[in-house]
Amino acid sequence: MSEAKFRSSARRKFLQDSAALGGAAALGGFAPTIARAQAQKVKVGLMLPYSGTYTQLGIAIENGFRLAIAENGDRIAGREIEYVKLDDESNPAKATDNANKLVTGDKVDILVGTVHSGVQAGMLKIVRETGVLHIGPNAGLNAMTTALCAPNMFRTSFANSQVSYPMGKVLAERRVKNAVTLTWKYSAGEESVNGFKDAFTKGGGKIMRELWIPFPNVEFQSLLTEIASLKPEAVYVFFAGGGAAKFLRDYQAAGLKGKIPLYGAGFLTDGILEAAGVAEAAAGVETTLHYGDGIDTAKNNAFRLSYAKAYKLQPDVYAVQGYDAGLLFVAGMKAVKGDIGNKKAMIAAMEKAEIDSPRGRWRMSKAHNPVQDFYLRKVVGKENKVIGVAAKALDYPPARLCRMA
Amino acid sequence: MDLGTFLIQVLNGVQYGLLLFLVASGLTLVFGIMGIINLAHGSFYMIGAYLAWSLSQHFGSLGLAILAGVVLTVLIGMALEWLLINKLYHRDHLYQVLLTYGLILVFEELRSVIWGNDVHGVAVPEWLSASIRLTDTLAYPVYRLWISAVCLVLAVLMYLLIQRTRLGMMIRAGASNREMVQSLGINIQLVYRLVFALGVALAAFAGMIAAPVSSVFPGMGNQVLIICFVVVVIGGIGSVKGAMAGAILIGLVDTFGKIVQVEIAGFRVLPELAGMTVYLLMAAVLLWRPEGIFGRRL
Amino acid sequence: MSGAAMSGDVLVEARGIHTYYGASHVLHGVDFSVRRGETVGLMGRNGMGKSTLLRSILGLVRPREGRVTVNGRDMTRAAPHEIARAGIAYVPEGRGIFPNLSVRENLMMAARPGAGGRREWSFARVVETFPRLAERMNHGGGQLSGGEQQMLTIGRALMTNPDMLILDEATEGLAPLISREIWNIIRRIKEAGIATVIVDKNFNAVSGIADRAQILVKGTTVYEGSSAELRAQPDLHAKYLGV
Repeated sequence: MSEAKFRSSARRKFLQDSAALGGAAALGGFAPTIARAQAQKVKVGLMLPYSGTYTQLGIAIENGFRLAIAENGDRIAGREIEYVKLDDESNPAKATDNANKLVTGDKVDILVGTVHSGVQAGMLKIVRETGVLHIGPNAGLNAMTTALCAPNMFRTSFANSQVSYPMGKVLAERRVKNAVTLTWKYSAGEESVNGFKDAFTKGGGKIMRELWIPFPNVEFQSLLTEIASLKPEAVYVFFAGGGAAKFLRDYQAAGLKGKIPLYGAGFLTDGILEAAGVAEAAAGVETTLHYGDGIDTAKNNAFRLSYAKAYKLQPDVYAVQGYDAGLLFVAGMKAVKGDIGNKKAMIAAMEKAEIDSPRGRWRMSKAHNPVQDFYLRKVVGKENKVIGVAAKALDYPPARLCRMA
Repeated sequence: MDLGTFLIQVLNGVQYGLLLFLVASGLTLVFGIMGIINLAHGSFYMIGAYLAWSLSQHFGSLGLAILAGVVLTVLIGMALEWLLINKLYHRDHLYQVLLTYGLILVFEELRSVIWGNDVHGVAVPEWLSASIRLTDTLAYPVYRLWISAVCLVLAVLMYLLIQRTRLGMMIRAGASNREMVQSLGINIQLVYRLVFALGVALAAFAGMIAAPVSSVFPGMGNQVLIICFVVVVIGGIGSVKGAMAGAILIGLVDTFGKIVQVEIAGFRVLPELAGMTVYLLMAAVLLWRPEGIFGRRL
Repeated sequence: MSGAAMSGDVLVEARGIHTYYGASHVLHGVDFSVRRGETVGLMGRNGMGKSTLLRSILGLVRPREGRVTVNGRDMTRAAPHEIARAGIAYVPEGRGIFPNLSVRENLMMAARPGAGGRREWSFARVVETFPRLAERMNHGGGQLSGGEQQMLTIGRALMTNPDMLILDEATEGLAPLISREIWNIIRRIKEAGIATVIVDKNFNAVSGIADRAQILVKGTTVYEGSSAELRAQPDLHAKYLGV
């Protein structure tokens, strides 16, 4: 018994050693070692919210990621995948500890996550310190692909300003002269307003007033009164989830709907149109996002069908981001023939990968943020109907803000 | 800002303040009379909102949902006092904070199990769903005015209950000398149970009538709890009159804090500091009167 | 006279009371009883256990051993409000008025029929008994003078139509003139047929009004007998009560 145990642990030790040698061996062409190293599973760390407000988002991202892997037959470049899941609780205070647990404790080969920007910021600290491969499937903090960018960090979602920039561009092109902005006073809100403002003022528009409300306060009445007295030609807002639902209903109840057109980042109308009265309140609201309803491409249709089959759920933008994170990972793994220890080659492959996403084809910018199309969508019934492309292959905030570029 | 807009903003502030009063009054009553710091008070606001949502779907009427919800929350309040809270009367505030914080977690988890984590909207009853057009761009929802009216009526009822009825006298007497009240043959335990249930029901009721305008979402109680503590501290801990003054003051300051632009040396101070205005107000009031506006001298 | 009482006459009876405050043993098996309409002086120096005995009977502290009956009903484990409702009213040391209630409210909140459904002490009769309070009906309890507060506490106790009134240091700290007024009131209460237990430092006043006296020393009874007999034994007085 004890002898058997000894032997098996000795064997594991050998495998670990040879895995560590993997990189060097590849250069020396020492093939047998590689083969043995690859018999070990690749550990994927999923650090996502599995409790709290963002639970559904975490689940959608994981579902999407797993679907992309499953479409490749569960083994990628001959290597089996092992998932290590960790609930980040959307709690920024625990973010670095949680990330550390996965990276140095579980020794994951790649860390995937997360939803909440504050938690993401904590994760990035560990990711930058340890150099572990990392894919961010949602949080849009600009810094991740500007000031804090790093070679081992990739994002398959968006940057906050990137989503709002196309909306400003569209309004400027429509010769809208002035607008009022309104959002929560926190970094995502500020970045969103800044992107809108940049495009809108560049195109000749003028921001009449920037209105703020403390996060996550939802008492909008006084701000709506102010908007009514300012009478701008357009109102741009950034809200999400419950706050967005309430804002839309309040906007209607305050009699502003139909008087002053409302625009927003796509999150304003995503995932809430099923709630009572929201679809009606949101009818006609135009938003920009990298995904939407009615993208009639073979790829999107196939994705929606297999996602619905696998999970008995309709996919949303978060599922797409998770799916693309999976595709990016697969692309890298295939390029290095499963030798994920060869980080340099893996990173190079991920940088070059063209992702055939349900949202449309896209590539990484030099800052490792998607260069992607943004759709102009309009709320029709309970759908965010895609009515056009607001910006093609948008690289924003400009990759030059990242020192890798 | 023209006069018309100013007056509408005052109305907004008062209206928000009245709703805050409803939640804060329960908090201040339970603290002032029973000496219990109830951190879970905000959870009852959330529970009220979720009850309004689920019961109004069941009954098809918000009015019935509120009626059933109030009965239910009074019972919940009494059960909680009986099971847990009455163990805390002779304990340090630290134990109260620990237990009631635990209750927040329990209620959040229960909410998640029973109702899920989704955001829900509650429809405004048909007869209150109109808006009154005030200017060419602005209308005022009738439902908001109705909320204000209901809050005012409840405030008057509460005043009468506490100042004019024998139960009110017993409640106030209990706040000053619990043992003496017992020795006069009054079941103080029962009085406390009623007061706690009243506090719970007030918070839940506020959540119910606010549900159509505030949406129903996880964690909504914690937001309210913090602002209500500010109201209670400003008004004077334990004073219902103070809760009213504090709530209206907070309502107005919050409203104008969000919209007034003040520049100092070229820097916008408001609304950059909008999130802080109510806390700055609290700090100012406490420097002026550490016991709060209507608080008893400490 | 002692021992002649029929058990039916006994209103309150405490037997073998042992009470502790934390680790300190305050009462060591005290017996104490009051008959209907009887006035009992409970005596002893400070810290001998008088208040503790009263509080044990009232259910405000729990005796570790012993038994308390009121009107023959076992009340040892009863809640304070149940004991009060059995007909016992309490005027505590330090008075215990509600300063945040008006004089009127202090009286009104206590009003209820007595244990046997008696309603002799109406609001009007109490006000009549304490004309000083009538002038101050709408003042806050906290605004009254010490003597007025004492009258209010006694008046409030009467509003409950009690069978027995416990007066713990009712004249403490009062000017002589006011004290005399209080003693007159106590006499009127006695005449009204309400049993009273009096704890007071004024030996002459207590023994003058009480039918019976009981002296406690370190939590045990050292004397129990008629007031008249006690007055006739100045040596006992000096031994147990002198300062």
